[in-house]
Amino acid sequence: MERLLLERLELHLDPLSDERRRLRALASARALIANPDSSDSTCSSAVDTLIRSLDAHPGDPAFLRPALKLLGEAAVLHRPVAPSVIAAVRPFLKGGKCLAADAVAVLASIAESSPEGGGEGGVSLLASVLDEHLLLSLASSPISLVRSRILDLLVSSIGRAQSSVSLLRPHLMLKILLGLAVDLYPLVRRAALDGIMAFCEVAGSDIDSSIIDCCYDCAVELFRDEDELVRSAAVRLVSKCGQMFAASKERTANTERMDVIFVQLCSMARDMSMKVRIEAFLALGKVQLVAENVLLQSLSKKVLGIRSGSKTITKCSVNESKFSLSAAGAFVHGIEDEFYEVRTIACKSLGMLATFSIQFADNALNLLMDMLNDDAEAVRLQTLQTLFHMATHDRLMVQEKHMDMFLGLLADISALIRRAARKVLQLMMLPDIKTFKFTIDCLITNLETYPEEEEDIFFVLCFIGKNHGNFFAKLAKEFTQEIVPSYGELSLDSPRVAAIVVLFISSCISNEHLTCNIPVAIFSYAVSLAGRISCPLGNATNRHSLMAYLCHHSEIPFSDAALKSEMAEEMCHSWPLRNVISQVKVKENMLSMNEMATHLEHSQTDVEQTDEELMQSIQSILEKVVETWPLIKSHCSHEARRTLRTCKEELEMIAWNVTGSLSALLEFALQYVQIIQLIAEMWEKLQPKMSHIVGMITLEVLLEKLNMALRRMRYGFPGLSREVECHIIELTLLGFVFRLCKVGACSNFMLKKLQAIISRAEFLCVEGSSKLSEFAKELLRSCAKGGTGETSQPFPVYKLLELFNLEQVPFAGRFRCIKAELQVLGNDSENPLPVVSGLPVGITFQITVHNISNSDRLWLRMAVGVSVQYVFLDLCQFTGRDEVRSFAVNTPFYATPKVPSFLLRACILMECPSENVTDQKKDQRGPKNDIFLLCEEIDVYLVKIDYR
Amino acid sequence: MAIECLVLGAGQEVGKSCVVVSIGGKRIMFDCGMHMGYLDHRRYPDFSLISETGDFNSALTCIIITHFHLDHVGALPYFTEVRGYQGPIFMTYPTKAMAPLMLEDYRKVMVERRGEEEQFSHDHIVDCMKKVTTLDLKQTVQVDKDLQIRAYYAGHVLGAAMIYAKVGDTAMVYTGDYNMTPDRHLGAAQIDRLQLDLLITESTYATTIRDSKYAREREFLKAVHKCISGGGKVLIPTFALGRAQELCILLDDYWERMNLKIPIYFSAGLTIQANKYYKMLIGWTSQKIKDTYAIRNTFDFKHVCPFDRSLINASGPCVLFATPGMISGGFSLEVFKQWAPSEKNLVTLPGYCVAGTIGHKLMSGKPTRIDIDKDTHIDVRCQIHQLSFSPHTDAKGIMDLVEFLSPKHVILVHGEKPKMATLKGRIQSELGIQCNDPANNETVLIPTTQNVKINATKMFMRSCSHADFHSVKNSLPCLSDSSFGDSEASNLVRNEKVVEGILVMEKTKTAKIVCEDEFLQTLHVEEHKVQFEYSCPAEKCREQVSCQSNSGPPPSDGNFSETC
Repeated sequence: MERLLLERLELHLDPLSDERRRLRALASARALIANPDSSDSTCSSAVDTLIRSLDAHPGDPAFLRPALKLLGEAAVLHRPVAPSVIAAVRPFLKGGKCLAADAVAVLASIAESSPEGGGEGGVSLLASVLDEHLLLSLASSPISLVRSRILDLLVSSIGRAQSSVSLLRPHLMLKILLGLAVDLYPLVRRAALDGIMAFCEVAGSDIDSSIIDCCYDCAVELFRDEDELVRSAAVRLVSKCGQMFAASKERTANTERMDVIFVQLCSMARDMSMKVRIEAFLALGKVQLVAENVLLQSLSKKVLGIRSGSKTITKCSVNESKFSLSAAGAFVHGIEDEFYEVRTIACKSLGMLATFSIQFADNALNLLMDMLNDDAEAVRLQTLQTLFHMATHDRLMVQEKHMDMFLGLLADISALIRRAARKVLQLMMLPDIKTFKFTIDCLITNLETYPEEEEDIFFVLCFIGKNHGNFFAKLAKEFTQEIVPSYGELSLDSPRVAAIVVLFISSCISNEHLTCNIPVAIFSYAVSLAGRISCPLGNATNRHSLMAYLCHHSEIPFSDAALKSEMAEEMCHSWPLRNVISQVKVKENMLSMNEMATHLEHSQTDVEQTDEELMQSIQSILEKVVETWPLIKSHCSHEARRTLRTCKEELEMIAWNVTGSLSALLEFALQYVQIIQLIAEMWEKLQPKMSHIVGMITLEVLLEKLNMALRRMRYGFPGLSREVECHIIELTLLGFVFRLCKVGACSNFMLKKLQAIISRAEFLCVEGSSKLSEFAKELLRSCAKGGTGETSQPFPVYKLLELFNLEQVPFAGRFRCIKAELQVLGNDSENPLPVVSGLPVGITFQITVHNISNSDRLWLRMAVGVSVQYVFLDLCQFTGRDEVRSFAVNTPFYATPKVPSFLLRACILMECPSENVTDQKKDQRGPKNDIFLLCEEIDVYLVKIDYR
Repeated sequence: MAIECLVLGAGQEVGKSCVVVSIGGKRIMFDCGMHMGYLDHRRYPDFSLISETGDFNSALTCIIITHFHLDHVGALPYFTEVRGYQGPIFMTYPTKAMAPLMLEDYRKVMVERRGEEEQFSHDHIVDCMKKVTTLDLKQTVQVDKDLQIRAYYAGHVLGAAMIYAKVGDTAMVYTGDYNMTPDRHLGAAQIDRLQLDLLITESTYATTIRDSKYAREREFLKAVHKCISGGGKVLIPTFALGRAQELCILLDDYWERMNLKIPIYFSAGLTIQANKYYKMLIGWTSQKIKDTYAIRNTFDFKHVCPFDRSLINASGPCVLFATPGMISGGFSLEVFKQWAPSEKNLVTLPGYCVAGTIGHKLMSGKPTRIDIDKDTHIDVRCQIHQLSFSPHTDAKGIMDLVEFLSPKHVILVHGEKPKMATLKGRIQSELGIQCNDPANNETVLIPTTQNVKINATKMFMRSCSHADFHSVKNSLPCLSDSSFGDSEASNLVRNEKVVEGILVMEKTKTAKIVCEDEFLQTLHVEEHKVQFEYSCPAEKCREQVSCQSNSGPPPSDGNFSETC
């Protein structure tokens, strides 16, 4: 096939053939080159043919342009041909308008690609061909496209050049970049600015300060550019220069300059373009070493007096006031910007700058507290994060006037906001006793409104109690009266009482001297609440010591007296929360708020040890599963299924508190149990004494389920050992036998599939140590017999079934688990999405995938009734290459039915990578191979727009 | 060529905005408003100053209305229907939609309530609106051969625009009223960087610098929340358009977030009608409303319930929006009478109230008793909260805009005289821009620079458009990498581009600048070459003999051409 195509290619590229043919030839050349299965020799000869054809059609841009582009792609895909491509392309650099640009684009793409598995880098390849003279003449080309592409080439060479190789000497490089930064075309200007940025980044700290000056001047001039993208690039560059000034040795000499940079950035924060404003606020957050008065000016729209330190009289006053004027109120404008993106970033930058000055932090707090009333949730959340950031840097000095607004957020409708507000509250130092009381009251109201958030609220109460022992001591009596009933029974169910008890205990643990003032009764109440409060008190595993502590104080006899006092002692001295907090403060820049909770969990449990234990318990459960086999075989399925059910439940139980590496194993085990359950069920259905017709339909369903689950086992756990794979294949074979049972004979297609699987099993056994089981061997034999001829000869199904025997799954090594989570935020039966029936509806899915590589083919399936729509999820588009990737996909669903409301079922599917035998009948738009589910199907509720 | 600017209204005062600008033979009237404070001839601009004969059609090229407030559009039906102007009128889509509502409302109040003589009839309004041409944002309209106009977003109210006008090389911007900070339903004013000779800007808050709007919102919400959680009723008297919508969005959003269930009412009439327009004109609102529009139209207020008169005395807390804003009569007065005696209730007042209205009385001190006429009086025990939302930009915003546009000249209108003088001083001293604050009926003459247009050939443009790095390289031959980084580096940025060309001026054509290479071609002359040859004694060097014998010029430097 390849040969044929190649010959045809040569024929069609003949100079005498007509234009259409030549273009078609290019298409087949592209196919040859792009196909990963093409051999190297084919590729190189295809490229050679192309190169020859370039000479044959000198004055034909209609052919030359696509040919050049194709050559560029070939050089990227097949590195060995790159030198010859470069050589072929070089003459075109001096060619006409478009050709020169295309030729440069080819070179740029080569420079950008990095060779696989070592070898010469693209840049060094080019360096041997391109001399400075040529580059300079290209950079001064009258064609803007050439200039912009040569910039691409230079920028990628800056980024990738190994220390030894570079296309241009640095001063020439900078010369070109600076020269092109004032180009007539905005596209070129922007690329040049990005180039300067890359240049500065690569050069790092050893760059000369006068060069930074040049770059800085150049960028500042472009602040008044007409094009918004140029302005944003200029802002980025100024920010970068600012960082470099701050990092340079003469940093003290630069303070004046830093002020100027800050003011300049402030003036850009008033730009008319949203993109520029975003960049400006990002940049403001990164500025360092700015004088406090300049910082303060950015928080006030009114011009604040003359700058201290500068001895100004009349001469400078105009400049001074102009200086202050441009900085004035930049942040005030930022936080009331029309676009929430700008507000969010302004808020974040405020937090960053607040670490430099106490006065600034105080003034900023006034603004931040107002922002808690913003209409965008993202902004409110960012504000709370900023407050948290400030709190961890000891810059959060709240005043009474702030608390009203802040505590209002505890009643916010968004759970995310409520949680974030509480996190800030944990670290907040309350100004006076009145606020303290008010805060406690608010938290208790909060607890009454949202009982489901009890744990979190108790957690905050703990911190507040601990941090404000002195306030609490003053109020202790009042609180005591409130909860100790003068008559009747104490209701511990009341959230108010529970909250106050938590407050008591927490402040006692941290302030030992308080203990004596507190009635013994309270400790005894706490004992009965121990289960609920132990977790918030910061210690799940250490529950016993809490118990001991409480019992000790409440004078209830405790089972282990010796242990009791010891533990209580320990508890007071090393309260784990204390440690956590200090750790959080140290690592603040790495930790976000959410991580704090996980951090706690980690410090609580001894991870290693539990892992080992869990592993063992999973193994023993799986053993139990295998033990059910004889039962199944002897048709005591009832009992077998009961055992399996318990096994599953146990596994689910374990799954509650497993995170990290073990979750894959657990997932696997769960799947395995489910498969055995299915097999058991089918086995029962297949009892020869029963009529076949009875179970027909359900059997079909069961079979499909089984196959799906088996595919998931086989392809959803990368890193499985051969033995396990063998085991799964055997189960798959069993599935086939079941199917044969049902039909009695098998189609050609199924036979092919069966053969493919058996050969895989054989291959695995040849490679590995294990042997084919009797069952598989027999199947192989019958397959060989029946496979050659017609399907007339029935398989010895029951014999095969008799032969099958379930063995223990041999686990070895670590493997990962591919899975996905699918969600449509804010959609439930109460809040359906509006739809205009007959028109497509856009649905935003939040997708989280685990352990997926870019080569995996994922699909999103949406089904309403019988109409099914598949959407391919191109993973390359979603950022991050980590184990867990989260992204949002907004996708239209086309076939909206004409009904008042309906349910859409969505799930994520994965295509099995290697099954070559495909069923052609499948819907062409959907996945072509077999598929399996990566998550449970979810329901999306939709309603016609008038019916809401 | 000079710009002549005749201020017919809003000169050193607020009210009846009307400025007539003559540029390059074109006369444009910006806004045509009425003064709400006068009932005599001072109510309208003195149109006779435009044309003594009363032939406005030849005297004016067009009228442009910036937004629908009466002090900007109030005199338009009078001018077109009574005084007989028939020329083109431009306004934005929302302005065209809302202006008749405002005019009709005003006419009714004037004629039916106060029993005044009718200045213009309902038919006049309808006829007047038929003459209007609509503008879209950033749409350039060629009014006639020379005059171009373009509208930019101004904030302030729905559909408010700043107008850019250009005749030949002379360009100007008339801002109308604008707001540089966004509010809950409108975005901030937005304009491109333009080359301007003149900027006419409003200066309502010429000296005030406002704090963040969050503080104002917080105060308002706090007051309202406190009142309703105490079981009280909140009366919010507002003007029908703009402020009512903003406050309602604010409350609706707060209700949503705080999960409040207390009803909010709109008293019927203009507000509800206006709301319909707001729902349709989403394209003119703020980014947030545009973004969420597909999911839910912000003006479909979730917590607003239909109102019925019987609900005035229903028990339990509620919030009510009622017109008119200054409690000068109508429904808001009716409700005020009922609710004012209870200390649980709250009445909010707009930022500005005309003297004589109840709103003004409440603002000045806290009266306990208000006499409406000699028989009726109200005991006022309710709480009073004064709103300070304003859709005008503050002094900082004006300075920002002036600095951003950096025109050659600024004229201030629509403000109070002493404050305008202060602002004028600041613009002149801090920004170094010429500034005027003319009074009504004064004319300001502004000189403009005359530009001579020349054409340039394509080749010349190309030669300008790129830097030639070769020349640079040649000029710094000694700069090696080792020396790179010292003082030489500063030379790198001195990137003064010198472009050479030849200016060709012919009698009848526009002057043209051409490249040296094209010069001959332009003149249709042939190139003459003058060759110099060295003549050397033949016996000295054999090679040169061969060179000469070829009769070609020596390959080195003996050859140059000269053009004539």
